[in-house]
Amino acid sequence: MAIIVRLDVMLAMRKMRSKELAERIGITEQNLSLLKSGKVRGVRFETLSAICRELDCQPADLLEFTPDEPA
Amino acid sequence: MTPQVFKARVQGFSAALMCATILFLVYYMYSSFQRAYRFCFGEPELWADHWRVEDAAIIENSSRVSYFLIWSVVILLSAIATVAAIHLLNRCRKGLIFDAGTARSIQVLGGILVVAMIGDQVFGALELYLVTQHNPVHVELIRWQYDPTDFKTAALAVVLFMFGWVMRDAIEVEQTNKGFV
Repeated sequence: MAIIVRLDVMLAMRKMRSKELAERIGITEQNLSLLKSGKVRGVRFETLSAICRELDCQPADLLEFTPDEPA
Repeated sequence: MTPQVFKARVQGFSAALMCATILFLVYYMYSSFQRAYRFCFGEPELWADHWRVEDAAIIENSSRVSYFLIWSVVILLSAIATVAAIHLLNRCRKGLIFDAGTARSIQVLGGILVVAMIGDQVFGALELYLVTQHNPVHVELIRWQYDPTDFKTAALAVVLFMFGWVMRDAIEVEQTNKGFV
């Protein structure tokens, strides 16, 4: 997968639990869990903006691009 | 009213309407073909006694066959439209309401209704000519017969077609957005 979600790292750094973040940004814990594991097709700017606001970080702190290995 | 209750009501209403439509289809096919058959072959004097047919006219069998075949096409087009409506109602009965297949069914129903209406108009234009073509003196010309009911049905068919189109687009948008958080 080319995009790696580093949300769990940021949550650990801010010492915040998933449940609390989910409540603050207004999405379900299940959806936040899917986002953390990268099992989503996309993230709305609205959600990304809310996460950055609550975790006091930049989108680049949450997402990382790694090129796929050629087969 | 909760969405579940609404859905259950739609399903119940669709089932009842589907039963009524199936009965209508059977009756429509029977009565339409019986009428056409009687006029063309069963009671040949019906054609000869038509108020636009002159006494000296001799109706050829080929004309009777042509009339019956053209009329059959119109009946079958309407029957196909009714089958499409039954298919749509059956999907709603199963609870497949906001669904790509249902949207396609609505579009197909609208499209078939438009074709059936066109067939009806064409036959309407031909009918008097076919009936009077053996008149020695006055043969009616092929001409369009104005019927406001056909316009209403055609407008409804176009609306159905467009509604199905919009619904398909909406479902596509919903599918695209699915999986986004």
